[in-house]
Amino acid sequence: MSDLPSGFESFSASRKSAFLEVQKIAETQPIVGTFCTFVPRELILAAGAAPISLCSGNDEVIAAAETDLPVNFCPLVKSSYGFAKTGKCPHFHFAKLIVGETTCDGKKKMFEYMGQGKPVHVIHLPQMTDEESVAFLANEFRKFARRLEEIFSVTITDEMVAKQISLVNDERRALQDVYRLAKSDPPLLSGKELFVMFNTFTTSIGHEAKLASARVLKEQYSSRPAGAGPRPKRILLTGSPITKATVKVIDAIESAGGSVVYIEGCVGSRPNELLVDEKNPDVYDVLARKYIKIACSCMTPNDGRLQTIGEKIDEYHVDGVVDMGLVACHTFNAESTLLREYVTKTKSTPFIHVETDYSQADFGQLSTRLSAFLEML
Amino acid sequence: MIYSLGVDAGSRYTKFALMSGDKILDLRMAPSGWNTKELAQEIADELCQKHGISRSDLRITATGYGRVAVEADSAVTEITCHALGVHYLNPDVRTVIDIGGQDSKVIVCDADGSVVDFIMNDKCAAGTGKFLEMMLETLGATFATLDDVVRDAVPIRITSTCAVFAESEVIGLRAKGADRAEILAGVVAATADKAAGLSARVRVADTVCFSGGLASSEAVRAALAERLGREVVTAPEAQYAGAIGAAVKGGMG
Repeated sequence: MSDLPSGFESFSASRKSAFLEVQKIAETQPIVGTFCTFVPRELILAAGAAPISLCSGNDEVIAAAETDLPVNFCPLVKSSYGFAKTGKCPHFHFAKLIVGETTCDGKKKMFEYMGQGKPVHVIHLPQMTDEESVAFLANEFRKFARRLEEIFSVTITDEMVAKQISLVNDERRALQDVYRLAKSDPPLLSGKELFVMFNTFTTSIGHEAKLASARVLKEQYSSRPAGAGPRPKRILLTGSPITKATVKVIDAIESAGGSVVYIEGCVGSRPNELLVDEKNPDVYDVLARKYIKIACSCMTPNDGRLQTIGEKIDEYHVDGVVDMGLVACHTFNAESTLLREYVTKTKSTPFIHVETDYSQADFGQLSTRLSAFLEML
Repeated sequence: MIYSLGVDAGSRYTKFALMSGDKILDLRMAPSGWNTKELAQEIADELCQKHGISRSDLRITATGYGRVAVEADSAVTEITCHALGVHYLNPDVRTVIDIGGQDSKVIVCDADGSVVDFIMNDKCAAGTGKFLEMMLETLGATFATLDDVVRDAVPIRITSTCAVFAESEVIGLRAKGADRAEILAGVVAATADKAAGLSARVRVADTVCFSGGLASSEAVRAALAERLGREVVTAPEAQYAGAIGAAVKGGMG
């Protein structure tokens, strides 16, 4: 038990069991901690390691983070750092390497602090999507592969990467099979169920386990009887990443009689819509081409996000778009004006932007705003 | 005969509007206190007795901050209700600016009083009724006499609309010997600025109606009209707009 954190005894039963669970995995496979969907899981898997999303989405560790980071940072960065600092995240604790990325200024600085206690590799993400940027990102992915080889004393061949590209594509297809069930009218699954599925997948390990759980979910949801009663207003949710702390936005929508049918988010469809090209043997080039298209507001311009949202409004028969920005998440909050223009003018669909953080103090206000938005549709 | 009672449970006051069809029978207001549920029951009973209505003929629709606390047949948000209420009072209005105890909102509606777009202040009290109330208290003034005090006063610019920082600023101005009427005029201007800033984020259309707790102040209305550069009307019943809208909504179903 010596490799458990010092505060282990004081943890709650569920947190203790999470630690023991991850410890078990860590005994057979090195764990690589990630924070962002831009990190190519295919390369980590090719190195024989298990990529796993690190903890965030909770405000209990924010005060601890604020001793090092500015108070007016976004809650996602503060929570991620707070978990690392307090030793309360099992995935962080057992991770042999933390992979960062330069998606935002807050995270860049956070990774510098994190690097003081753990090996951290930061992927330098370009901020445009032109051909030079694709080549730059492909090179960054090659550098990342070399770092993995070094740390885990393995050789990563192109064939190994190609194999993982195909396996991870299968996982994405399996996920698509489930979340596309929400196209049915009324939807076969709720936004809360969509969120739980996406969240579980970002923190679970094992190809077969992922495929199996997607199959179970698909079976379970598709066998539901077609809904009776009033048709819920169909909502597309987009913006900063939804986490356990901000699932309150989905709760507010769904308790007011709406249904989130599409989550255009990082814990959502954003990283899963596009597959990696399996035919082209230049594995680093195809990976770069897929990942650079993730429609994050850190990219400029980020037209891909508008395009995706426009397509999904039609495909999912969306009645309204809810854009959730985290407090101090500058790029998503700034992009909201562009998005509002596009959604209301070009797509003639009502739009609302809400800003929130990881506390639950604003649930009443959020609820009023989102209920009023649904009453308006 | 079915009667519709709209209950607008605001953070400071609870407003009641009793309607029969599209006719207002009674309007009531009481401090929300700590037990909105009891208050609503009491007033509902009282109104029933006064107008000879059997309780089973009364449909209650609750709105406002405390809408879930009220025992009602349905609950509707204050956004929808304010639009319907103002539309009832003045069908020409397409934009509602409501400054309440803790929320300010700008609502754009269509010719039927249905909400087309709206914006609400974030979770801080800047520019809300609470903000004005705190400043009045700091200066030993009351809302009832506000209009008389600020008449013809040249406003001193208040640079902070954060309720806490503005209080320090006002105390600082007092310490420097600034004129109370001029500071208060500055507070009115700051309140109007904040509401006008909020309304810049939606498409303000045609006639603007000012509702909510501050609507009875001519000084605030005039400051708002000046900031928006357009006509701002109000109505004697504007403070009841939410309750009237709830009653209208209840009468629809």
